[in-house]
Amino acid sequence: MESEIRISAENIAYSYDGRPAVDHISFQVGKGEVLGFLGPNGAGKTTTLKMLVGLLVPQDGRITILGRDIVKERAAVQAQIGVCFEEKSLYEDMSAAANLKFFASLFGVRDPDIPGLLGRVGLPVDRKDRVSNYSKGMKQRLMVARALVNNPKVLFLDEPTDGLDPVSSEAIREVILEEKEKGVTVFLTTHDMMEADKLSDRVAFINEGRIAALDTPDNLKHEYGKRILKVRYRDGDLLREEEIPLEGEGSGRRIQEILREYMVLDMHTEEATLEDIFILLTGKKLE
Amino acid sequence: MSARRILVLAKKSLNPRNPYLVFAFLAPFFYAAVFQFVFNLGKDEPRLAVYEEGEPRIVSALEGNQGLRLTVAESGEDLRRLVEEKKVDVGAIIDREDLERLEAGEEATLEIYVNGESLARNRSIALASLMDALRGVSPGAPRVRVETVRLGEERPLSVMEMFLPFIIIIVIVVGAYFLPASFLVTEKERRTLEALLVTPVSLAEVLVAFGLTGLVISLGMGIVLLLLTVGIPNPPLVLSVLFLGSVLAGEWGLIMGLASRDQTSMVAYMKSINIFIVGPVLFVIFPSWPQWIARLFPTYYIANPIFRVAIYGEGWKEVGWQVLVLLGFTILFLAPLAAFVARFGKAGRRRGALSLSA
Repeated sequence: MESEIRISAENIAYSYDGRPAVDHISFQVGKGEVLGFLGPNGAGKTTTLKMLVGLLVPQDGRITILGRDIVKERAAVQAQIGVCFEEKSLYEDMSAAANLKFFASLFGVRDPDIPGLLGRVGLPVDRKDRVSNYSKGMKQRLMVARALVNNPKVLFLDEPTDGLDPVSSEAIREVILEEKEKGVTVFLTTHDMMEADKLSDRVAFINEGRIAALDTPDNLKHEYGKRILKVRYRDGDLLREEEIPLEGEGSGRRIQEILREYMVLDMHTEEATLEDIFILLTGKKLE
Repeated sequence: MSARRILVLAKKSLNPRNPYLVFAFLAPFFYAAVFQFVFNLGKDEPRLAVYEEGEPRIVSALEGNQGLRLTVAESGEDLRRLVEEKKVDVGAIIDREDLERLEAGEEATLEIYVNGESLARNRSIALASLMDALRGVSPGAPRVRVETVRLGEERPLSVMEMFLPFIIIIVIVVGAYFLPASFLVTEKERRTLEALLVTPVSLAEVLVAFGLTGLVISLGMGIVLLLLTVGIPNPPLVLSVLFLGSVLAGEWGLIMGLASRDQTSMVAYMKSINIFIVGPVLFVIFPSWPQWIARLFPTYYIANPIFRVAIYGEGWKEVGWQVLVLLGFTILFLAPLAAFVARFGKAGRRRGALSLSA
């Protein structure tokens, strides 16, 4: 339904000194949906995000967030979105609570629930020291908390778990899922396929500024992936391993042969990963 | 543009760890202390001599004034001698007829002798005290026409007085020029400018907040410095110059902040430009140098009017045109500031740093 669309990008493009970074892409994201925006470094993920949040003006096309044009109504849109950048951008000489309070005041939030926000991202509530003393993971969690300070309807997260320890990464993933449950739309750029698979309702593969595919992870796997059966068996003194495509002709016959003639040590099916599909579609690895 | 957001940003910029901010607050007190202890200026009380015919009503009223050193002259001649010999700053002869006119609510003409070497501040205080005393005998506001007679040459400048224009420029420059530049560059270095610009805050609000903070500090500290040293003899004139000077320096500060990538480049730019800011002040200090050179530079029109008013007691008639030139410079520098804002936006869009479309 049209009213459910929270993010709409229509044919947007952006070039740096004539070199296209984002080349006329279109997509929409609905209420309560998490869109994983996947691509290698330099694919155009961050440029797209910066256009969506009003830091860059698209050179072509149109973006509406919550039904408002981001270029024409930048401040009104920004009042209802939360943004978390990949690069740390905190006031390091202030405490975590002071950082959140300051940003809340810019949004006009009179009585922000600072302990609640800190607690949600797993940061100590009563810590009064400067953010400069925090670890990288703690700073990133604070950045996520800052993005939530105005109770946004749309959340933009740029590589939120990149380079973080497992505990911090998990804390951030939990917050993303909680926000999704509340009906918040999440635009998530990442090059972590596992994370995208876990969190996203749909994923968009972006490569050289263009969207190579956009669908649910299951549909992508179904359409582009191959299911295989991996079998390890003993052939006399030799230990052999074989991959049998499940959809291929003669697969059943071959499986029967192995089971009949050899001693099977183990066998299991394997599904294509998003990374496999990305490589298939773009010829590139996600790094 | 939101006043609330501007205030929030301005408040946050007052970070006590910013060395420029610390210096901006301490500089007036430091220089005032130099004035007080090295040049002994602050202890110089205004000195007034009065010769009053008949019952000493004005003298009695003045005797209660603690901020004044009063000398009662025995005659008009004695009073004139006191002024000529620089024993007092101002001398006033109050004759009986004048007093009777004032008592009747009529206009009286008062002859005032002024020591040419006295400080404008001391003259102003002495005259204000005298007028206050005259108010006591007049039914309404005393209608007094003052005829000033200057006795003695204008004195040569002391080292302290020569120092004044330099200090004024330093206080204004640190407050209105260094502070906004450092605020802006720090936000760029920390990448917090980008974080601000994805909230409803616009770049214009950031610039206004930082510029206003510098302006208020510069103006406040300029006033403190003058009050602690030579005083503010002609408040509308002096405050106008301080205000316009701070606005102009604020424009330079914002340009510097927009142009500089980081603190290092900011300091490098400042070093190359500072000679044009402080240089003209040297011409004020050394009047024998060709003044037309100094008049080419804006800071001359900040330092010189304040100097002439504070030290020589000049007014709008003498230095008003310089205030107009200063206003002209303030308007003129809006153009390069606007150009830098536009350039910064374009560069930001190229680098993906920010957008100015608010």
